[in-house]
Amino acid sequence: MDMISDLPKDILQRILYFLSQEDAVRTSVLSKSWRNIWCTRPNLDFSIYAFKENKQEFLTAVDKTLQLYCYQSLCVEEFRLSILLDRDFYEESISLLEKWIPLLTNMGTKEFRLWIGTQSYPGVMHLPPVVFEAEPLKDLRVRGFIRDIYRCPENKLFRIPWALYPIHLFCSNYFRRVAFAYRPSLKELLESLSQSKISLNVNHVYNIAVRDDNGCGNKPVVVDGLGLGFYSYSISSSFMNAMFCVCRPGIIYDSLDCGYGWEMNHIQCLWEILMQRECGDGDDRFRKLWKQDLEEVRLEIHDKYRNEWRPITLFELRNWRQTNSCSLCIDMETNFVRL
Amino acid sequence: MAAETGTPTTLTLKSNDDELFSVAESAAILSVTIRNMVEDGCAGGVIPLDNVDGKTLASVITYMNGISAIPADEEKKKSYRDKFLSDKDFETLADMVLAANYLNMSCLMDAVSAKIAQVMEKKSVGWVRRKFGIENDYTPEEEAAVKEEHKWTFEGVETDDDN
Repeated sequence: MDMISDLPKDILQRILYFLSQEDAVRTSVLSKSWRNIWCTRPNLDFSIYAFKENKQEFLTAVDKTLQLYCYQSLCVEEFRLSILLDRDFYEESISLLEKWIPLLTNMGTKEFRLWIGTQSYPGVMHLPPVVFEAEPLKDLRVRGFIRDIYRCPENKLFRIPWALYPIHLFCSNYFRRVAFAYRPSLKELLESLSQSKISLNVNHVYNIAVRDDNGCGNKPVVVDGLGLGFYSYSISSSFMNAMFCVCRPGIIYDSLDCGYGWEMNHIQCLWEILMQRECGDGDDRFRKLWKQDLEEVRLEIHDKYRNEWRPITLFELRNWRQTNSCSLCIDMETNFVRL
Repeated sequence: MAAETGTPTTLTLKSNDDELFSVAESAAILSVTIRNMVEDGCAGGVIPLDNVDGKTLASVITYMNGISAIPADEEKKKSYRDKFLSDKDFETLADMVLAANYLNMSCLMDAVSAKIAQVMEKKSVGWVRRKFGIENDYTPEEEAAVKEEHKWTFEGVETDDDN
């Protein structure tokens, strides 16, 4: 007695909506009436990892499926794609992305979530600009890319319409440099960040370059990765209780705002990045620049009961670090850091 | 037409096997179908629901009352739905999803669909066929061809005897 196949097609589509792509596609083998239901559900969710990283099979499956939807003039309301851009299949992947992304607008996609990674490290892979032309892009996570603004012509900077999309840009520790073209101004960017319109998760990111078309002439403005460091859990919070400031003469004022108090591993992470910077590895222009321009590094602790910021200099921080052997007392009750 | 203010309005719903149910209008209008009837002023007497039997309607009304008693708290609503569906067998779920579809109740529709999907998650074709009594009308050649077409979906699935 078949209790499920007789359900109306729109209900079966709804059931399949809640399945992973592979579970949904596999229903095509159940019986003839199930043959083509999977390719009418309103969502697609393809991940390279479901293909055991077989890139050719993955690319072909995504491409064929999108074509199938196109031929039937079906909506793909939600589209999730996790793709690896490595040296093998690089050109093919890029040209397919350039084909797929413009399709989404026509297919009525409301939510496009894209995860792009690369395992070629040290990588030379660049994010294809078409990614940022995707209108329904709601969530973008990138991992492992290198983008060097000094080698990148100005008009090739990524242009992200910040105000339009709540983009969550997740960067891993391999993600060293990102260049963003930003139209309004740096101040507005930082305001957008603090108002949680967009979030940048740039834990371990070394440099983020923001090109500020209005605020500072045409000179690329370098915002330190730390300066834009939002930890993912602080997205929804406008409550800031600590600020990390890196000051460079005449260039910029950076700040790291962090909600819910500092945790030891954050301080540790900041510290390690600072120390790496200070030592520099010689052949890294960016690091040298950083060190050369470094005037002051300031960690400010906000005491919300006194409503005041307490600055601490790099020198003090180092001394503190030496004498305290990296023990930091974090008062979870009051949510502020005591040194 | 519903009363403007004062005592809560009660609607009478009639199942396709002629059972009558009283339900508060505030709960019943979770169904867009019923809400439209109320708004169009067609809810004065008995509302006949020709596609829902008494047993299913009783269950749906329990859900309507339960969920509308919870204030706007998605977490609590979700845990109510989970609990409500936890002891339902597939036959009941199928009746409920049909009723939810007919009554246009998207929250119930989604909850039941997700619950049915959960049963199929990561299960082999043979397992799903047996569970739902689906008859395989492919010839072995046809089945092999469909499988070959989507062979990436057969990795990492629990294997079983006939597949």
